[in-house]
Amino acid sequence: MSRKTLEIYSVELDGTKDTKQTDQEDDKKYNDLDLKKSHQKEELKRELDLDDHKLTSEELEQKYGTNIITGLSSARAAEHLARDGPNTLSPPKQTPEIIKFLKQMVGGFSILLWIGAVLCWIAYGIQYVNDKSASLDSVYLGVVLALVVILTGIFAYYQEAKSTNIMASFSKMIPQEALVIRDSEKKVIPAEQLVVGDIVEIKGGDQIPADIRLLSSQGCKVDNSSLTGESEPQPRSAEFTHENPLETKNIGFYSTTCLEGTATGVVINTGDRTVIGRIASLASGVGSEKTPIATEIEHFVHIVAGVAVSVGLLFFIIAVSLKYQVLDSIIFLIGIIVANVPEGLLATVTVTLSLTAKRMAKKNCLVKNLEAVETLGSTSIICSDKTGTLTQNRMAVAHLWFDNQIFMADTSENQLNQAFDQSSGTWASLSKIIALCNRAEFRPGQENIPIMKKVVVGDASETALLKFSEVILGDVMEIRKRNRKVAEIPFNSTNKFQLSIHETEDPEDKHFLVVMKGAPERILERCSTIMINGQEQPLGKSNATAFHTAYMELGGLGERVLGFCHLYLPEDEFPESYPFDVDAMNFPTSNLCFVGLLSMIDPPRSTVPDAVAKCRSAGIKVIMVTGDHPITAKAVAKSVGVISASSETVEDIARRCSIAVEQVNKRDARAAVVTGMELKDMAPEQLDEILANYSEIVFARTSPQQKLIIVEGCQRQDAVVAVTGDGVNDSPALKKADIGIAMGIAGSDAAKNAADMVLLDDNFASIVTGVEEGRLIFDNLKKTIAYTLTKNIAELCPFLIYIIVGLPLPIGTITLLFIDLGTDIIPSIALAYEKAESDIMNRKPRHKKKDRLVNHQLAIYSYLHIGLMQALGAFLVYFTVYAQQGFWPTSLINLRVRWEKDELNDVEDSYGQEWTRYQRKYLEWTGYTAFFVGIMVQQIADLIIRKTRRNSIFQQGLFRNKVIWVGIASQIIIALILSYGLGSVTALSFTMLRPQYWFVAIPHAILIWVYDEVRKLFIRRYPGSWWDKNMYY
Amino acid sequence: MTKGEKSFNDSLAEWKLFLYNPTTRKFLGRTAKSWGLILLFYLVCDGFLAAFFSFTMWAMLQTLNDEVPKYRDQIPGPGLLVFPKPVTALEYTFSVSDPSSYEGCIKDLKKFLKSYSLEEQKNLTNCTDGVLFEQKGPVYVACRFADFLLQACSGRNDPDFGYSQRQPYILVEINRIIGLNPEGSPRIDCISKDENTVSTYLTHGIIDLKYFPYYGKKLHVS
Repeated sequence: MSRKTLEIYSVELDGTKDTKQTDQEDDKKYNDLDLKKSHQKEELKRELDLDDHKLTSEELEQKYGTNIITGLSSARAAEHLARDGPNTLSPPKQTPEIIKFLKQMVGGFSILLWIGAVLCWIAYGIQYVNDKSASLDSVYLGVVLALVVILTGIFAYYQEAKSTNIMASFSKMIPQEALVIRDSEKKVIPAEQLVVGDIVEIKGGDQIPADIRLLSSQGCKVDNSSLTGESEPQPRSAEFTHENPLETKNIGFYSTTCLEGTATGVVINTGDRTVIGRIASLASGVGSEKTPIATEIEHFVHIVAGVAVSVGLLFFIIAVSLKYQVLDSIIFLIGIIVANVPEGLLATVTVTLSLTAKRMAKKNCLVKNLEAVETLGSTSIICSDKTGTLTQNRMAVAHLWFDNQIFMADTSENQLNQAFDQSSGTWASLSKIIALCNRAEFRPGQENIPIMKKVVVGDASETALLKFSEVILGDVMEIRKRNRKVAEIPFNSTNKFQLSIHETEDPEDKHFLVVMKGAPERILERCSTIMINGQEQPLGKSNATAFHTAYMELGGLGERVLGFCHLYLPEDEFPESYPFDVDAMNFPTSNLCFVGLLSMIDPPRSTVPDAVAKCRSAGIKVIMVTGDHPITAKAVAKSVGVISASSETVEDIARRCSIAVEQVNKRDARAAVVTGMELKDMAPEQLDEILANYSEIVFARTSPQQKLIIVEGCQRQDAVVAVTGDGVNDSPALKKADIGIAMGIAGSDAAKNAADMVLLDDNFASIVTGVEEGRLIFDNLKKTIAYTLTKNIAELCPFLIYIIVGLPLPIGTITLLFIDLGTDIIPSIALAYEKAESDIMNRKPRHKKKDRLVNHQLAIYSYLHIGLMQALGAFLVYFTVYAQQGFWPTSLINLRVRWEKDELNDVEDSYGQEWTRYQRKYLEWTGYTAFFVGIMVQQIADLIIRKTRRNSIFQQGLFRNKVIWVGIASQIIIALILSYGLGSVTALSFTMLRPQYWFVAIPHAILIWVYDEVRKLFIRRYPGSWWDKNMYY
Repeated sequence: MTKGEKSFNDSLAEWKLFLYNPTTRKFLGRTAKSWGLILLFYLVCDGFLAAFFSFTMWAMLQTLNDEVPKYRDQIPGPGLLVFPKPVTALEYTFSVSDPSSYEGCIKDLKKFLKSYSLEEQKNLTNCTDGVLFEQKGPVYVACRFADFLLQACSGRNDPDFGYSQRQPYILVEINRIIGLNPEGSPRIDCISKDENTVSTYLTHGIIDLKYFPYYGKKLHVS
């Protein structure tokens, strides 16, 4: 049987063959996709071969070996579980951990360092062949280099793994459960243990735990928006209504939600074999774009590696032509490579990014992929969902109309009272109708929870009305108790009204009150009078016109409008004991008194308009993509500022000027509302034109699949695109986007899997704070890199001078590593804590191809200006040590060969003293330490100047970033430990340095600071000048 | 950097255009004027830097004394030198029967001893034995150390320095260190690794105190 099952349920994925002979259904759902280009996207067009909806219950029982009443036996269920695996979507294929690890081992600069290490070993090999007693120095150096690569690799791997783990723990937070019948018993089991053939029961609020064929249902409605994008609730029943499995009413799909009612069904597909599972697994086929920061770092690595290799080779050739031995030349080459490669930098970048990721997580942006931290900062287009992201994802009363006047209600998240004029008698009546004609109730036991946060049983509009009246009138449940309900007709789609009859709260008053609400035109039809200022007046023509104007106006705002009316029944006809019969309708339902209109909307989140404005000033285009009706979409877009107050669409202009839409000059319009239907018929070029020409765009009535087309369109404009999404069908778009943002609350697991970032509060404003952090980190990474690159010259010059001038080696290769991986690490991380220099949200997003992380200004300024100063400063300390010990600078020139000869024990200094090899070696180490200290002292100045790129340090505040001082302290402490603590360990070649040598480089450090202040002063003074262009990085 | 999809010809053309762009007259991305400006800037900038470095170096050199180095802590004790210079480490191998195998050694020794010949040293002072030869200046003189002090090793009587008799002479020299005032009688002990006796010249290897102290190259001419 299992084999047969597989045949029936095979979902055929055919890329090429199917493109033309498309099934009608598929055509409707998927032909929005650009078929020509991507093979993977073609796979999304799939033929769903499912016939369970056509089978009868008996056939189903037989097919799955189950029983509708008793369910599967536990043994059988276990058997199926073992065969099919758990009912979960398998996460997208992950790179094996070992591959990830190896990638860290060979990525970035690692290759260069491996080459260095191997060269070391080769050099030793050559030495060993010539002389069996050759020193092991180069072997050690090789081992150290290899260790550096392995350790930094492990570190980067660990950092990445850590951020992945955050995500893993996050997705496991809410285990899903299912109510299943097994062994004739109802059991609650984890949804992942469901198997084909299980009989499950679902009720309103549940997520459907697998693909199920419904067997029975009571008023069951489902929200299929995550699958089809249509947010209208769809009824579900046991009847077979449509050939197409996606359209028929008797199938419920995995991960969609049951909104109301209950249903029982048999599981027909689990896990990846569900319809949603198919789409999700296909989404992982959509190529993910390389992150901008990865490109930038690659660019930077190429620059530095290019410099390292070319300088290395150049000096290798020079060394060989200067008659150095090839072996020595190889050792020089290694020194040059090590000096040029900032070994600690990539680790620093990782730490910096993860620090920002942590900071963003606090602001509700959970970053899955570290590099996405920066991507958000370079975002130039955000394609945002409407519901839940821009809006609060609830209905709220927005406007009221009574006494011929429109009143505005407060729709913010935490309303405590409503401020509109409530003195009119009409309001008293209207508020009573609102409170009474409502079936929604607060779930008990929530006395201490603020009204807006209380859980309500009832649909969205009724909830809105209940909360609205609770805020204004106080305890609504108490009011209802005082006005006892005697009869009720619930809302249905034929009547389009809801009615209830109440006793009045005045015990003396024996009238019954009929209250009614519903579609405004239907309500008006049933009224003969209208209440104005608390007085009933006959409903004249002028009143009716006023009503229509108000109705149109509110409707035009995209709001859902309801009409309210009431009637006090005459006491004589309807005495206290009158038997009201709702089926027979033995009471009047016409000639009522019209009281007012009320309109509701899913209100924008209160933080969103600010956030959208911030995006606009930051040069980020916000595009709204929604499945909603264009009018609603446009109204919300206007209220949040996606379409600004002054902008008009072509249609608006046409209406204002009373001309045909075709006659409007399209250039006059800044905004556009494009529907999914229009988008479907559009060529990519037309879409490009729209995206390029309009600054404010709303896509309405779009399917989730069309999002992918919109994202691709944006990417064709060279934009960095952020996309928000929650449904499973959003996952291809989320994957395709430069940064996919999934909703943490409303989002499906598939969306979260495909996304780079999860928005924990579903709030658009959080994206904007994320953008701010992303931009800041880009700026600060520039500073970190500039800081780290600077000392490369100071590290490189010793080797060059050593080769060409023949000085005793000023600094050893191992000592260099102590700078790169010791004193410099904490300071370069400290720069990540630097505050922004100016309002980073007031400038355009960086251009992906023009504004590089490391541009030539940065490289030149770091290498040739500050780096050169640093090298000179370090040489000063070196010369000081040698001169004060007896070797004047002039005597050092070309001393190298004699200096390094092991058997030469009488090298004469400038005073005629004779130095043995060991004494010289020790002096050389003192020289290393001096050079090291010289660089360290100047790196302090370098760190301080890198705090800003344009502003003076004094504008930025020297002490605002405390971490910088921690960095400086760490630099000094590490250097002190190396010199005084480990000075006696010969292998490290550090010596105890006289205290005064620590201060020798200070004039150069001061020069660096002053020089950079002057640079910044000119940049500020003469923006756009030659200086600005060449000196600003 | 990510030009993988571009053809080789394209990137070659791009490079050529970068090298010299005839329309904008840009050479390596800069016009002649721009190059002139940037070179001028670097001339000024680097000139200033050179001046600054020269100044700090000059200031540093002011702390130095012409006659005596500021610090002498790194050469606390004198090193010893061995002649002839060993080819590798401190081992000699030669074959008595093959003069060419020790020819180099003899040459080395002769070269070393040349400056200690009587003629070379005749202008030097004859100092009192057994006491430190402390001088007050302003003129410092060097003590005579003529090769005859080395007796048999001087090579005067044996041009082969004993190499042909399986009794090679090896000279040991003590390094000059400014201000070294040895206490007692400094001596060099020569010990044999096997039973062979080693004879030391300069009685018991004692170096006479009169050769100390050294006052530095500038004052103390040798």
